[in-house]
Amino acid sequence: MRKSTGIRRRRAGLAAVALTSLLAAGCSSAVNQADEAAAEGGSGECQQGGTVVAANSSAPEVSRVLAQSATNLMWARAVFEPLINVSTVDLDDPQPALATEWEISDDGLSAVLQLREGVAFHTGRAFTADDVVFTMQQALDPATVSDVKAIVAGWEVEATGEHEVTITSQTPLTDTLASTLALTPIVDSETYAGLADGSQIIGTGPFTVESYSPGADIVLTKNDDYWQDGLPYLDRIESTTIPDSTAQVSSLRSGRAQLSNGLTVQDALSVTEGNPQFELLSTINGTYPIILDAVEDQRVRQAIGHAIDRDRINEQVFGGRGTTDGLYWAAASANYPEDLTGAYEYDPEQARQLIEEAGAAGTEVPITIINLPVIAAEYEIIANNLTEVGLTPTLTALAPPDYQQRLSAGTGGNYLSLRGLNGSPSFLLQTNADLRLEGAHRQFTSPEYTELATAVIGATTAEESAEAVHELTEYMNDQAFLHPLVTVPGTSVQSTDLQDVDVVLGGWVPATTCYVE
Amino acid sequence: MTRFLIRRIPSVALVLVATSVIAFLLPRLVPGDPAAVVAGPDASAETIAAIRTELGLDRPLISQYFDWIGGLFTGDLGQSLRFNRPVSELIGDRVVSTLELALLAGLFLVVFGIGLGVLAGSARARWARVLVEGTNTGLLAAPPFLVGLLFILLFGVAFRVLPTSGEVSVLEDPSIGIQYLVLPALALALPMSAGVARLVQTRMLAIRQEEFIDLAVSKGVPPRRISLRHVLRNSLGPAVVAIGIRFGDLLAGAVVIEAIFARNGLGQLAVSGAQSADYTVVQVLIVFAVFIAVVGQLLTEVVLAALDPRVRLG
Repeated sequence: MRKSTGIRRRRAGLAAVALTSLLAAGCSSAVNQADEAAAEGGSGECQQGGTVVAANSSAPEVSRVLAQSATNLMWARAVFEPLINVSTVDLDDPQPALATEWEISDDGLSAVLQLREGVAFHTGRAFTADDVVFTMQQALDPATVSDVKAIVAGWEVEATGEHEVTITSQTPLTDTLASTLALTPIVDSETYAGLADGSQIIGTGPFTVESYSPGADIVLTKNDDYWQDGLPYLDRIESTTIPDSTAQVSSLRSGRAQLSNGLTVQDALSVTEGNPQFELLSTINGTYPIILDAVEDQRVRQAIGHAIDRDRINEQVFGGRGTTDGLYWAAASANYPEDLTGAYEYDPEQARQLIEEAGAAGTEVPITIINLPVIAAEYEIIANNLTEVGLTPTLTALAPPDYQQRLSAGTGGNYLSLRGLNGSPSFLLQTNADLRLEGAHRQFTSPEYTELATAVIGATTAEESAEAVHELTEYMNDQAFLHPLVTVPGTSVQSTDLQDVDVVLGGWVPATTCYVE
Repeated sequence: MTRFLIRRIPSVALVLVATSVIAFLLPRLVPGDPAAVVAGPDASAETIAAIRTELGLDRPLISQYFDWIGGLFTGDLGQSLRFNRPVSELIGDRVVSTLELALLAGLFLVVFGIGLGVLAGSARARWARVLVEGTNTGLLAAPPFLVGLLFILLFGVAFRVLPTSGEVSVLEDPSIGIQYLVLPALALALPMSAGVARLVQTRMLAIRQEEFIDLAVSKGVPPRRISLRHVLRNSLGPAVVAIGIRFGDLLAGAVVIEAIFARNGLGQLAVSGAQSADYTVVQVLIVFAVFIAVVGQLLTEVVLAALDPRVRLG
């Protein structure tokens, strides 16, 4: 009995040692495997090869490639290319992509685009002008999600040659053409139906889709037949979904991910500050306004403008990365009315005075928000500010499906919003749900607003446009039906081993991204 | 045993039918429109209406319910509203990940739960008992997400010996896959095992006071044999019930653990489905979770019946 027990003990001991050794040996291989997938970094020339793991907080949605979406920010421009690229930091300097050049007529109502020859879809079929016509038709489909539907609805797109397209428009194209085309990447007519469920994801981009797991990840491999010689540098991109911000930090620190999008500003700063391995990457510029649909008295709306401490929101919620100019327009766009910035400086005393004049002390100000940490943090400061000047803020925090339904139905009341700043004032006035004339979520409307906004949209020259934007901005400042609070770029983190991580409207363009030798 | 199982069929069927009704209605009672999520934040009411029609959400609820139930009997679980893919495919892509996690965590739960319980219930030396009970109390006080975060700091950042983010299927690459599983499974199982250990320990201490143990001692039966054959076997009943219940908790706990270890399992699918009002996914996952809980409960009863013939016979 004693002998057999001893043997059993020895066997158990040996098994434990073997298991531990196996784990120890294997452990290093699993960790090393993740490290080896990415190429070694350094400084110098771009090197060919390597894998980038790009973590995103929301899952890819392939049916929404004709819209700009945070869900597709880390992969869509790797597969689908637009005619024109527009950098998020320079909206007035569009760059050729699938169109090599374009010319807008003097009246701004038509444009002729020359398309790049020698471009093929991932199926091998050549890209022609018919694909542009097809793509624009799809953007117009009622069930298609597109940011620029309202603009494209006024267009007539015609293939005037195998590699030439002519666009005629009811409103001037001068300030809207580039952003509209940048947000409408070209899709393949033969496989478009497959985008609905992701069974076929075919574009002309530098990467082809190796696999797509709905709700989880999308894996891309280098397109060896890409039209730009020598590009892309990377062999592979794994765009994976990591919803939790802390888990994104962990994926960066553990060496798994080299790019990370959708983590909180605080987490992004915690990874990058004092750490030479990572740096912040700015993505799409967004504005965070409060829309005052349920405050009838103009003086109270103005008082709210003076009551909110924008700089505090910028510092505490966005880590000081934003600007607080109080305008809805992108500072990077032409016709930006610099002299009208800061109309509502933080001035609680003036806010109290306006409220007193309006006899609105103690008035309830219901505010609807989408239940996201950033917006909730923003609300906390606003609520504190409004209470300080004698108003009574109340909160309705909604899940995304409820929030979006209420806003589209016009029942949101006062609400905190988040919108991309993807173009000129004319572009935003036609596409942005807080501003546009048709189908807006904003309920405030007046003949003056319609007239002034229409003048911006209809301006054909730079001078006309500048004047119209100035007049509209003055009116918006005076009416105070919305207050842009902070404008801030989307926050991502990139490994410093990577070079040329360029972001345009639509997302990351990985063709020139590389590891450096 | 067969008759024992047959007797349970009506109650199981009733639970599943009631669950299907609740699972179908519950997500739809929550305000919000999945079409609004699909349409995106800038969408107009017209776009949302067009998407609602395309998704079939404008049909009467009763017809949507019977279509879904009819599909379940033919193996068609429905179509995800958000991804436009069969729900069965979405679940199929993730079920292996969650099952691997739950099974290894279940194994750890049994090993650590019973192991710690036996140690605590058998240790004669005071220091040993204090040590085991201290460990147990510590684990009881630490929820899985906290243990998970500590593991990430310890093994993912300070000493990079095990991967703390992502996953590789054990079926694809067993040696790598198991390494991705170890930390999440331990984080999930350790806090739960403390509860099981406490049950085993308490029961063992109580059984040791029974007269039949005194009889065995007086007959000269070796202490190890008494512990294993008499004390432990008679102490396992409550632990088996607890483990059965905990198996459902393992699946629920996987939601958190999958999030912090960046695993794309069923938990993450359920969370994203609920956030985006993807009713068709959520309703299947609810029924699936209840089904697993029912099966777990049945297995518990089978094990109890095997341990104790009185349960089986009566």
